[in-house]
Formats: sequence, C-alpha cells, structure tokens
Amino acid sequence: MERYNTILIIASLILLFSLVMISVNNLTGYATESSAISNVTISKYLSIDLSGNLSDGINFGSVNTLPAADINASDNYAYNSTMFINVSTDSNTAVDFCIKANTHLTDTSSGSIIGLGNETYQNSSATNVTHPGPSSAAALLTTAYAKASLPTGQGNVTYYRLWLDVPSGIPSGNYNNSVSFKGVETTTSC
Amino acid sequence: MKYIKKEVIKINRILVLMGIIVILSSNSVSSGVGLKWDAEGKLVEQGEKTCLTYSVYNPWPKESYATIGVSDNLKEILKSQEAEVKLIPPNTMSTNSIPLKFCFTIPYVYESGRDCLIGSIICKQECNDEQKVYSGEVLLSEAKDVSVSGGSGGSSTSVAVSAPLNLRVICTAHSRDYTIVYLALGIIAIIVIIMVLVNKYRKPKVERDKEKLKILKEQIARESRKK
Repeated sequence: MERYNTILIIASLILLFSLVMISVNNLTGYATESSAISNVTISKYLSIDLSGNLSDGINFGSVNTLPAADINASDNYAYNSTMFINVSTDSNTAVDFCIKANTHLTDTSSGSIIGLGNETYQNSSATNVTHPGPSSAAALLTTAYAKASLPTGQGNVTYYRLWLDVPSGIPSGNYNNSVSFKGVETTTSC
Repeated sequence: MKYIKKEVIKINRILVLMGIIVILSSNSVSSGVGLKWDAEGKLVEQGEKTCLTYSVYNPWPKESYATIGVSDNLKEILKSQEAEVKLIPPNTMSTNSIPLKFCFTIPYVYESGRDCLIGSIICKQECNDEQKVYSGEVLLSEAKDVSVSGGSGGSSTSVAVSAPLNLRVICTAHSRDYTIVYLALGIIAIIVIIMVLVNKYRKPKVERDKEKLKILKEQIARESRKK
C-alpha cells in the first residue's frame, strides 16, 4: 500500500514538473504601447470570358493533302473572327491576355506529333477580313505564357485568328493539345 | 393566294430572325471568371499551414465552376495545396463576389539554421539568412472538361485570370523546444497515476480493510518476535 503511495507521489511530481515546464516555455513578455492605426485597402478586380466559339475549342478540320500551310481555324473567318475574349465592364483595371499551349499537337493513339511551332496566332482589337492577320506575320505558340494582346480596357474585346501548318510526312491521325488564355493586370508580366 | 404568299414571307422572316438570335446567343454565351484581390503580398511562417481567401465573381450570363491555384514557380515551393472548386452563379457581380479559400503549407526554408535532435522534433532555429521571398501568381481557372470536341483534331481551350502574389517567409529564432518531451512525461505520469489509483481502489473497502488488518497483524507479530 505504501508502495502505491510512493509511486503516486512521484508521478504527481513529474506531472507537476512537466506542466510547469510547458507553461514556462510558453511564457512571453510583451511591452505594450498604444497607437492609432492608419489603414487603406486597395482592391483590384478583373473578369474575362472567351467567346462561345473560342470556348468550344480551336478546330482545324480535316486535312487531305500534305504539306499544308496556314490552315485556318474553323472560326477564323465567319467574315470576321468569332474567336475573341471579352473584358467585363465590372473590372477596375485594363487587362493583358497571355497565351500558351500545353504541348505539341499530339495523336495520343500513335504518339505522333505536329510540332508546336506549326500552330500560330494573331490578335487584334478589331476584326474584319484582314484583322487579325495576316497569317504570314503570325506569332508561334509556345509552352510558356506570352503576351497576346494590347491592353484591353473594361468592356472591350481582343480578337484572335489561329493557323496551322502540317508538314509532309506527318502520319494520319487525330492531333490535339490544349491552349490556355490568361488575363493579367495590364502592368503585370505573364 | 397573295395573302398566303405574304404570310409565308412573314414566317420566313421570323424564322431567319430567330436563327440569327440563336447564332448570336450561341456565340456570345460563354462562361467566364473574375478575380478580386486586395493584397499582393503575405507574411507567412515556415512550417505552418496558411490559407488565403480570394473573392471570385462571374458577371457573365452563364454559370461557371472555378478553382484557385498558384503558378508553377510557387507550386515548387508550396507543399500540400488544397483548393476547392466552386460554382459561381451567372451575373455574380464584383460587389457580391464569393470568397474562395486556398490553403498550403510553407516548408522549412531556413534549413541551415535549423537543428533537430530527433527527426523533425526537439528543434532549435537560428536566423542568419536573409529573408526569403517567393514571387508568383494566384490563378483562378475555369474548371471544365478540356477534351477537344469533335474528332477532327485541334486545340481545346481554357481561361484563367491571375493576381500577383509575393510570399515573405518569416524566420522566428528559438532555442531547442522540449515541449514535446515535457508533454510525453506528463502523459506518462497521468497514465501511471490512473493505473495506481485503479489498482488501489479496485477492491471493495471491506477487502482493502482486511488486507490492511492482515499487514498490521504481520507487523505486530514481527515486532513481538523481535521483543
């Protein structure tokens, strides 16, 4: 019985010691002073959306003869381009658009590719039969974001046209990749 | 006859008008994403979970699902990022924006000043390095199926908006932290106390008194023998 009491006392002392040490570890000393806080919050907001045709994807149709140069995306010319990005009027900053592709156009079943350097684009703040264009001056898509517009203000639009070259010797197949558009505040890099 | 012809022309015109409206609406109706932020920098503590809340909105006429994440250069630094996908109803203006939380864990980036006794516990931290700053972007992307529609090949598209984000990691110097050792000691002590008390009071009082009496009798007997 006495043995039990001894164990109880020792265990209680250890518990007390550990509690004291934990609280000592958490002890801090704070100097206090009072001050008036000056505060301002600056909010920025922007919203964009892809036109229905651009949101549906960029389709280059079927190609029967190789090599083929400057194949138009199917929505390049409904007289005007119907591939565009809107900046909402409910934004408080102008927007720059950035573009990139995730990889080469790839036929997943065979593993064959059409190099990304063959997919090109042009952008313009207006659209007609010549703008965006011409295809001869189009920029190459890359896997890193690149600026693909002038600053686009609230309520305004940037139009796109995309073209594809298919070199000779490319095996038949269904080639796909993913193109991403990103909106950034106009002074910010991609 | 003339009346019927006029009616047919009228119906044709209405059909053409309806067709134009359908085509125009199919071109213009798409979902978009909107991001609102009021901070481009954040002070964070190494080894701790941090959550950021951004406001998302969708002033466009179609609902969208959005998810928040960080740019590739920040992905390399931040551990265990958790982001939720949220439905943003159509015509949600910036004034009614929806908060979207994004959490991540900052790894121990001041490793040179960190010394642990066992694994990653009982550590001390010295702060001799310059403050580390990681710059990147917060990305709000539309969460959608990116498979290309149709079978003739091409590119699927996705849309995102971004806000700059600079993470400044604080280094808090501290001596070796034995809290876990004291905690373990305390827990062991509590277990021992409980076991002793259970053993002591397990038997009914009568039996305990009998045992006490027996011990006393033995003691008296021993004492008598000595005398």
